[in-house]
Amino acid sequence: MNNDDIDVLVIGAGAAGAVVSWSLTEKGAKVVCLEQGGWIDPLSFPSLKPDYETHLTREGDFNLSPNLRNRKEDYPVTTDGENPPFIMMFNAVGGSTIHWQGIFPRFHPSDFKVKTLDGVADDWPISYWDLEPYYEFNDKMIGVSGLNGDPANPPRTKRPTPPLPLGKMGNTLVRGFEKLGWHWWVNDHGIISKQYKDRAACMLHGKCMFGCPMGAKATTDRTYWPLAIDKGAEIRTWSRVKEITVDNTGKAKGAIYFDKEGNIQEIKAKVVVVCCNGIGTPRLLLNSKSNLFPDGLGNGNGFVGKNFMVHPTHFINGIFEESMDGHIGPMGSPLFSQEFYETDESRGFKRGYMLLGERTFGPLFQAQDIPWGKNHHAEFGKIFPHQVGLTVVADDLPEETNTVTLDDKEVDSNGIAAAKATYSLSENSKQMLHHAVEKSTEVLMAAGAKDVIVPPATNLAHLMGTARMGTSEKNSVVDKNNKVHGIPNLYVVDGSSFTTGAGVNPTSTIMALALRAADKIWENAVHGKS
Amino acid sequence: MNSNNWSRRKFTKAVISAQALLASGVLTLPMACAESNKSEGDTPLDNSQEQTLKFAMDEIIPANDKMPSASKVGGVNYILKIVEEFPDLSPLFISLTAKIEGQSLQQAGSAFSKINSEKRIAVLITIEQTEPELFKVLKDFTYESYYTNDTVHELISYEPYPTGTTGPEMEPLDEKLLDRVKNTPSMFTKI
Repeated sequence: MNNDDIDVLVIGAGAAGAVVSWSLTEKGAKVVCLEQGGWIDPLSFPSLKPDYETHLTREGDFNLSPNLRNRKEDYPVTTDGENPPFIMMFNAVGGSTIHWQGIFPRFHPSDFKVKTLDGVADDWPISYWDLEPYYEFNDKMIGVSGLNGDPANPPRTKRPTPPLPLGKMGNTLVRGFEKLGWHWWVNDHGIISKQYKDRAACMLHGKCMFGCPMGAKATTDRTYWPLAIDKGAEIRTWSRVKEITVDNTGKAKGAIYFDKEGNIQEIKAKVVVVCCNGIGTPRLLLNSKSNLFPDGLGNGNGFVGKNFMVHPTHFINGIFEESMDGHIGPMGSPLFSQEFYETDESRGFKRGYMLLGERTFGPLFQAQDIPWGKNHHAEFGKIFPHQVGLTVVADDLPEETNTVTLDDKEVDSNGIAAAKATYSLSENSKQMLHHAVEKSTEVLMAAGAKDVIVPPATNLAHLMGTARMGTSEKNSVVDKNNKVHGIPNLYVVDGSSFTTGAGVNPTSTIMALALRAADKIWENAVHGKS
Repeated sequence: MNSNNWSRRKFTKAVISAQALLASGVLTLPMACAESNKSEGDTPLDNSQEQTLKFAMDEIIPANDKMPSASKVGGVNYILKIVEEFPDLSPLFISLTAKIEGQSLQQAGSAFSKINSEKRIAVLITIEQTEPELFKVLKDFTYESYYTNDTVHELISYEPYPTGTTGPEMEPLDEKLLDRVKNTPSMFTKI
């Protein structure tokens, strides 16, 4: 595409960037996407090899963390704070959907109105019902598997493919939830259980985080990107954006980027959409300094990079006498409980959490905490294959002191300042996690566990909140249509625009939000201006 | 792993062939540390260092009546292959074996391979306490060599089901399990 003809420049080819690029191209816009990584050869995935787990336990080119992959297209993310998160992201066409588990819950209506309901954080300027048609549309685009009828969530249409199997560990958890009379339901997954469109059904190998060569997992390189490219979208791989440029009136002009050879290139477009995730987006905005925007783009109120949210997490394991085969079946979560999702003030905290039944990795990962020496085999034999996992995903309310900033020492392979993520758990989150540990232990024991292992809490590092959507220009970075305040043709569309983080995995909401934002960009900035 | 020169067209072709191969269930791929063609002369550690490593790995994961020790399932060879693949790791393992031997001499007055198991364990505990990062290299690679090994997988009844083979058989969801929950009043806050 000729550089002078571009309607929309999209930066980042992950979950949000793919959706925005497809939707706008489908409507007739000329779209170019710059992606710092490349296409991933599906036959190179670690999931094809019996030693796939080594990519979890040591540095390697498929490690979940960019800091442990250290590939040219990755950028370092340093961490700080009392509870520094483990940073997970992937830089390639498809973005973090390449290694994501495919768990696909939606936010609840209450998640959008926490200020009104609970007096905490802020309300989103949109509601669940504004996003609901986009959730539905996206589910059909990618072929979500699951089952409708869950009383803990608003009604949704019949899922495009049936639910994935529970397996022995899932059925064991059901026993516990049923005994206690608690809510549970099978998860929606961005993994198809039957052939859907041109993608083959999941064969239940269970290595989803190490790449799905079958294409059963809805990575956007296999779902939205082929459609977008067929319609005329152009994706320029190995193109790392250095900064977004602005004209002398303060409008976004395009971007300066490094191409594969490390040469500087400039691209211009009528509209710029940033889709670089909750760390990459504030990093790019903060690196885009100019005379008009000395503190970075969209940062006139100092809110870019603030309110970083990650989802406080606990991985709790029940040890059972019998074999549980927890490593068999699609990695991720066969079922969930939202018994403690909505606020109940008697629990001592606001908002709530989800419990995810969690399959385990293989023996290498499970051996990590087993002592070495003469008791090694006996100790290993107690946990493998006898574990059933529950993962707590806690609602992460925004805190201004949790931030993504520019690191003053580290740079990426093009010399661009790296990101620094600072995070500490709030008192509300600590109380919530404490409650979740008690309840997880209770349900695991009810399911028949002879022992429950509670390791220290961790943070999943779902990347959210750092260019948040708000009801006021004073306390947010983007408006209800994902447009950056004060810059008429610059949009931020990814997890960074979340006002609150909810207590569920974020990808379905990122994609629904991207579909909605694309409609608004078309109406307000492309079609409306043509 | 990542494909510097890959175009969208090449990617599409690969996707189609991958799906065909995987669906057939006949594709097998070598492990990352598969057999190499290097001659013995290229070995990154000398015989003495290999012996030290062998005895150390066998204290980390010893044999019992059912399970073999780490070296019995190719642990030393596994590490040698890794060092061949990533030569930057060579000084680390040389340093590790030197530390073990030095500590053995200091603590037990003899080479690590010449002292008894009890004394070897004591040497390793000292290193674990004084140089935890170096000890972690030994422990992590021993575990890695062991728990990625086919023989061990068989002994612990672990079927890894690498993608590309036939997956496990699993029963579909029995929806009756959800009868109670289905009859629960709606639980979400309506707003």
